[in-house]
Amino acid sequence: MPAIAITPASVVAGADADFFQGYAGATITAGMAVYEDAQDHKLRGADCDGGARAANVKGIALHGSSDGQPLRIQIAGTLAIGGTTVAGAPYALGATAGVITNAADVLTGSFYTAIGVGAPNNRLKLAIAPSGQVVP
Amino acid sequence: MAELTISPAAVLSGADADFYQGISGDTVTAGKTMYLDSLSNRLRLADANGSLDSAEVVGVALHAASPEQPLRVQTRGTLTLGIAAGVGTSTVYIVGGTPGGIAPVADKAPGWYCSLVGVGNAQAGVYLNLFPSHTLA
Repeated sequence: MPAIAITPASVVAGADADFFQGYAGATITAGMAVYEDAQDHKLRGADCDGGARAANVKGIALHGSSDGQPLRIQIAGTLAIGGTTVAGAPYALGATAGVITNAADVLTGSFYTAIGVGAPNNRLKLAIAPSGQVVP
Repeated sequence: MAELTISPAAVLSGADADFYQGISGDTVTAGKTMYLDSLSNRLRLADANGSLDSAEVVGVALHAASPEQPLRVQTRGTLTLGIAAGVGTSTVYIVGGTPGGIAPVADKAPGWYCSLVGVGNAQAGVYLNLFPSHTLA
């Protein structure tokens, strides 16, 4: 399956969500997986083939933001992701900045970062786990 | 003069900013004035000629949001709006007659509830000092 095609306006945190409040370091749209840059502590689009740091997902953006603006991300709980998900299917970080894809689609040589598991009604149950391991 | 034309990506809070964190009830871009809808507990676009409630500004949006998404607004302090906004130094700004708009006080028209937003500074921004007067022009 391809990456989840997300409609940003449809991304909504669930009632069981946990949050992290930070600042965007680039243009971010709702539903993007983001990592925290260790140098300036800003949140940027995560990427499984951009190195271990970029694959170290912190959470999922809950709204749009530009460089230097506040950004609230969800780090745990259930999330209406604004795209089609399959209940029970594992999802992971993709090879384009911020993209969430089916876990089976993570390519050889990429860092594997689990994002969560599909839940009914096109939601994701977040289980973010940056493994730091390269897919052989 | 007319309402400020704000480039959303240029909106940045200053180091002295105070914030309020809520949930959006409208589609919002950075730089829009917001009021808190007491019925739904959602932040919506403020409007001087909508109603007394909608003129009761509580902050200026600091990023984009869609309905039911988190929204952080600035309630006080220095706020950069960008060169393109054409902010006038020492000009007094109020909530405008367009939802979310910021207008110079000279634009105040009959039927507007006069809600102060702040005073323009020389750094392409305003010093926010929100005051919903509840006074009808």
